[in-house]
Amino acid sequence: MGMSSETRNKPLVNPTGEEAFEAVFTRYYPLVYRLAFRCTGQRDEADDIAQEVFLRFYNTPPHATSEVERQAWLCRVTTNLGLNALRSRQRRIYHEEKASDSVQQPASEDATQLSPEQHVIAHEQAAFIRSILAELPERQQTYILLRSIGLSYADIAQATGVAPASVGSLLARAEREFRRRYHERATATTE
Amino acid sequence: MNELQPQQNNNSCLDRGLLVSLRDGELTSEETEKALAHLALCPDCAADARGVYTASLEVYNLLTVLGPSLHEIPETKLALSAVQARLDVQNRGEESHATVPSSAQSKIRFFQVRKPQHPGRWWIAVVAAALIALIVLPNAGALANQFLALFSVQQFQPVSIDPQTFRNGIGEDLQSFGDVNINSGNLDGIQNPTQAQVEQYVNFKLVLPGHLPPGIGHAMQCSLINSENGTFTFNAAKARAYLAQTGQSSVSIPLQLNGATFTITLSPGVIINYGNKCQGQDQCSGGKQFYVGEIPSPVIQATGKASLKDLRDFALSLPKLSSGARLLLQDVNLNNGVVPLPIPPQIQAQQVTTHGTQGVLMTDSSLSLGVIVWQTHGIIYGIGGAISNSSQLLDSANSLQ
Repeated sequence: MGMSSETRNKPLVNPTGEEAFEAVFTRYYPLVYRLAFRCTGQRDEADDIAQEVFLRFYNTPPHATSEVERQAWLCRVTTNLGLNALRSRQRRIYHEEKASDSVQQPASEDATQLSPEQHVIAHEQAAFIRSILAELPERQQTYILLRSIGLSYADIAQATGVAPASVGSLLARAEREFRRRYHERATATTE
Repeated sequence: MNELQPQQNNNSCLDRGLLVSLRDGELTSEETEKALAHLALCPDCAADARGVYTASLEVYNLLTVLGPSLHEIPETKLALSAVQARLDVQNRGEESHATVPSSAQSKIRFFQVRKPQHPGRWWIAVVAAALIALIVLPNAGALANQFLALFSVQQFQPVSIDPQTFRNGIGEDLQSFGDVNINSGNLDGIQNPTQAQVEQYVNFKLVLPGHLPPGIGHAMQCSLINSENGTFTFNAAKARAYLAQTGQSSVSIPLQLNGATFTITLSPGVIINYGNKCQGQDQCSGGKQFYVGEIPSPVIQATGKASLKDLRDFALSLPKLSSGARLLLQDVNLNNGVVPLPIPPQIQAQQVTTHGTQGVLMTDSSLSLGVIVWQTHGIIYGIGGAISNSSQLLDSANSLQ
């Protein structure tokens, strides 16, 4: 979700007013939810995270002077909460797998479009990808996640506090690491 | 050289970061021009570029399985309503008492506060389901066409319901039609009260079974059920927006509904657990689990310019009302307070007479569980547990005194 320079520099309305909160919510909720869902893969959890992000926004509005700063703040908080949830999940799965061979519940219940078999496969695939993501250093997880939902380099830079000119290199490194781990794990699984 | 900066080798070959930036269209036009000119002349870099594109494509294709697809993103307006409801609660300093959660699951989650924490208390879920019929769905039996309408449960009528039919239907989320506020009482901290203390809190005399089914221990402990007070205020603008979103714009909203307020009051109740040993744990231990529940009938009140019947008629006029909700709404008897008790398919239900009134006996033979629910003198009683023998259950129910 890249922003035009006009939007980026647009002065902000009073963020504490009820109307302004609605405007911010309406504008950014889909982005925040998508990001939270990418991290957790669970509707309820993504919902809870999205709510928490906006409650924090309402209770302690960031000192943002532009839309891009505001979006950066929302992405930062969402990513932090989302990756925390992802880490907890991975730990839980690890312990559960150790304790039993129980099957995890499907993450995304898009049963209307997939057959039960396809559903299980899609779920397993998503869990596999998410577990690889969780293995990456946190910064790399963040770069890849933010890019995967369409944020521009300037937006990623703002959300992560790095120079925009560095984002390409950082992404390149994160993507290479992700791909390396993916192929390692995929090969190990098939052997 | 700072490793975070885009690097170029001495021979001006393009590094991976720059190639990624080029791929993403993030270079300036001048940088892009230079990079493309170099790629045209340098087969090594061109090969690298192709490698970067292919690798990136693979990475982001893999990440698409993480979702969500467009239709999985909740409606922004509904999500906003949920957050506003939480803010309302927070602003009233009531967060410690009640949480109004998110999404279409919100009412179901709300009722989890009254759902059993122990598997053996499944029958409370059945009673809760009956209350859902009263509270969550935009309905309620009523003294029709009165400005001030009072309704309380007088009797239960079993109605076969597939729980799935409650999903994906209007009626699950009152917040779509107005503002919901919930206050809970302050009995949560009271552990293992004596019978006398319970009677003081619940304000009615407890009745206990004269005899228990075979295999049930005679030790007992009480747990209080908190009081709750909920208010729903119909908001025509919110309802209109929701109807428009769900393709039901043609439904007309009666003028008198706008701003009308409906309240439900649940007074404190008690659950009595029987077992061989009850030593202040969550649940008694030893032998089969058995419970007696005594909860004052919820009172629903319509104040203002609309009656409960108006609200129910409006709900029934919604073309997308789920079939389960429609069935329950239609089965609420406006005149004598008979409330439909939704019975899932795996539960066998029959009407029985106990304490001179009609009750419902429900059993789940696969799990060896059974319960009888009835209402008398303004109190809803439930008695049951790990017993599926109907006559033993009925004997215990009849022995309550």
